[in-house]
Amino acid sequence: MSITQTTSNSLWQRAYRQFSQALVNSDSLQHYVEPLFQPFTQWGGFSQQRAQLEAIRWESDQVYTLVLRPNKTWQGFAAGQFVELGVEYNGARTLRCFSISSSPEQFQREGTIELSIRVQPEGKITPWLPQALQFSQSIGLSQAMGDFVIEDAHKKHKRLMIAGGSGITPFRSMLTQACADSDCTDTVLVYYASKAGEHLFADALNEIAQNTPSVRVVLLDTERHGRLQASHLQQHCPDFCDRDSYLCGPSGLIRGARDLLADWGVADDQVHFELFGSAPVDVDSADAGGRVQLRQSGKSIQADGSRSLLDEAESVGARPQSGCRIGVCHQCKCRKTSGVVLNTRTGARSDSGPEDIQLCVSVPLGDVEIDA
Amino acid sequence: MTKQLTSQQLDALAKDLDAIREEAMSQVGERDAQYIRKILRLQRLTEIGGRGLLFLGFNPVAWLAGSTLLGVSKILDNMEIGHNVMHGQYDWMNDPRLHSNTFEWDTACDSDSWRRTHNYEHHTYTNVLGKDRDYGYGILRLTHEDEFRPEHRVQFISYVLLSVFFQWGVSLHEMEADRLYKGEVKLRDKKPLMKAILKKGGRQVFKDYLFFPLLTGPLFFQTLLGNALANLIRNLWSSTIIFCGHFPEGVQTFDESVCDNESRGHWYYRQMLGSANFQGGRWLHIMSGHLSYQVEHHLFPDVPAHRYVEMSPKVQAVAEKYGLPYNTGSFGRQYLTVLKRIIEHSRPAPKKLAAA
Repeated sequence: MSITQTTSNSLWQRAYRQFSQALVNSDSLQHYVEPLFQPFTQWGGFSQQRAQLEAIRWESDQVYTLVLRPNKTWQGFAAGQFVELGVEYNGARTLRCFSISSSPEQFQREGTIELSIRVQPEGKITPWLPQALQFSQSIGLSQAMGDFVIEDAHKKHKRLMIAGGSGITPFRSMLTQACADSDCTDTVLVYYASKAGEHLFADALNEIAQNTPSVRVVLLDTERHGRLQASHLQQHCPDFCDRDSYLCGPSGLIRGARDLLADWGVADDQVHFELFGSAPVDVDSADAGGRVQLRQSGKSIQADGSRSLLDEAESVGARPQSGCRIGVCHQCKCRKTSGVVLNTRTGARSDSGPEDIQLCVSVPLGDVEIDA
Repeated sequence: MTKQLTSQQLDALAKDLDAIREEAMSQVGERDAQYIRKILRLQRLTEIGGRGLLFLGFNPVAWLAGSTLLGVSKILDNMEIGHNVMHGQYDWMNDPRLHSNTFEWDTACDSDSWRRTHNYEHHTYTNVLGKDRDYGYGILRLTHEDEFRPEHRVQFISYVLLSVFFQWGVSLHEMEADRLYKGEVKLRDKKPLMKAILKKGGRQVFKDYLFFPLLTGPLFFQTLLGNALANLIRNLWSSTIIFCGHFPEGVQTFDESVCDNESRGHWYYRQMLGSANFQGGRWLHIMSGHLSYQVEHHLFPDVPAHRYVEMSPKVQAVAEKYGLPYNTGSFGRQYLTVLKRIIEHSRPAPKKLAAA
C-alpha cells in the first residue's frame, strides 16, 4: 500500500492490482515508473498531492506561518480541518500534521491556505522546515482531514471555544470564516497561553471580536490565571453549560476541559475536541507495559507503557513504516499477532487476537507480539 | 584451529564492532537515499531497455543484448535492491517502494517467507550445522562433519542444477522438503506457504513466459527464449555470488551448542569466521549487491550495503587486533575454492580425518 492509495475493491481495481503485481511486483504501475522521473519531481512522485510555497511569515520568534498554494487537485477544506505536510528530511520521507489556520473563504478567494507552526526546540522538522523551503518551494500536501468542524446541524448553536497554545489554529480558521460569512452565532473564545503576550494572532482575534459583536475573545495565561478552571468559565462565559464546546490544545487542557464539562453535566455530544501535538501516552491502567516481541527483526523489548510501540520498536533499531506519529495517517499500521494494546488516541483496548494496529498511538497492556 | 577468544575479549570485540556500526548509522541519510534511487533508476532503465530490445528479437544481436540487459536488471533488482531493502537497510527512508515490509522482488521466491528464513534463520544461525538451512541448501555436503549420504556422490551435478534453477530452488527451499520427509514438519502447516509459492511463481511465469512473449506477437518464441536466458543469467550469477559468501576455503562451521545463551560478541565472532569476501571493481560490488563484502554484511546486515566499502578497512583492523582471520581473495580464487570444496566433499571423509 502506498501513501496515496486507498484500498478499493471494485473488480477493475482488483484486476489492475493483480496485473501490476504480476508485471512489476507492485500494486501500481505508477510505482514502477516514478523512480525514473524522481530527479524532476520531488516528494512522492506524481501521485502525491503538492503545494507551492507562497510566503513564510513569522508570527513570533517561535511561530511561523506557511502560506501555501495547493495544486489544482486539492479539494478544499472546512474550517477546523488539518492537513499532512510531506517533506523529505535527510533522505527520509516525513509526515507532519498541522491544522489550517486560514479560512476556506481565503482559499476560494486567493487559492491559498495558511499553516501556523510552532518551532519545537527538540524537534527535527519544525526548526528545519523554513530553511528547507527556501531551496525547494514545493511540498507534499494531503487532502484536508479531520472532523473537528462545526457541523451544519450545529451552525446555529451558541459556542464556547477553548484553545491552548498552538491549538488556536483551527479556531482562527473558524472565526475568520464566521466573520466572512457574517455568521452571527454567539461565540466565546477562551484562549490560554503560558505567559501574557504569547497569544498567537492576538491582534487578529481582537479585531474579529471588535468587528463582530457576537464574538467575544478572552485571553488568559496560565502564569497569572492558572490552568483552566470552572471559575474562569463562570466569569467569562456563565452559560457555558448550554453551549456547544470546541476544545483544541495540549492533552492536559483537553482532558481537564472534558472532565470539567462532564462534571457540570454537559452532554458528551455537545463537546468536540482535537488533540494537538503528539498524542499523549498517558495510561492510568495498572497493567500497562509488558514484553514486546518484534517478529520480523526477532527483537524483544521490555516496555513500561510510557512510550508508544513505535517509539519502543525504534529504540531497538527497528524501523517500521511511520508517518504523522499522532495516530492520524495510518502509515504505521502494523499487524499485531497477539496480545492486548491500548489505543491512546481513542482509549480503546484491542482484542487479544491478530489485528492491525497503529503503532504510534498504541501501548502494550501485557505481552504483545507485532509483525515489525 | 582459529583463535578462541575469552568472554572479555568477545565483549571487547562486540564493542569495537558496535562502534563501527554506530559511526556508519549516524551518517546514513541523503547520500544513501540518492544512491539507492540511482540504482532503482538503473534497474528500471535496463529492464525497459532489455524488454524493448526483445521487440527487435528477429535480429540476433538485439536479441542477445536485450536478454543480457534484462538479466542485468533482474540482478540489480534481486541483489543490490531487493536483498538489501528486505534487510531493512532503507526502512528509515519511509518510502513504501523501498520498505522491507512491502518490497517484492523479480524472482519466483515469495518475499514474505524469504524474509523470515533468510533474515532470521540464516543471519542468526549462520553456518550452524543443522540450524542454518542455507548451509548447503539441504542438498550439498560441504564439511566432513556432515553425514555422508550416497546422493552426495553426484552433488556437483546437483550444484549445477541448483544454480541453473536457482530462483525456483530458493523458492522451494522454504518448503523444507527434507524436514517434511522426515516428518518434522507437517504438510498441513505448509499449505499457506505453498499457496504463496504458487501465486508468486505463477506471476513470474505469466510475465516472462506468456505476457511479454505475447506482446511481441510473431516473436513469441524469441522473447520467451530471451526471458529464459535473462533468468538463467540472473540464476547463475546470484547462485555464484551467494556460494562465494559462505562456502570458500577457510570458512568455518559451528555446532548447534554455540547458540545456547550466545553473547553478542560470540555472534559477531561467528559471523566473521562464517563469511568470506571477494575483491573486484566497483561494478562487481554493485552487481553482487555488495555481498562481495559478505563479512561486513553479516556483521551489519541492516546498514546500507554500499557503505560496506568504507567500513571494510575498519573491520579488517578489528580482525587483526583480535587475531581473527578476514577471509578475502579475488572473485576467481574464492569461486574455485568453492568448486573444490563441493567436489572434495562428494566423497566420504578420508579415514585419518574421520578418526581425528
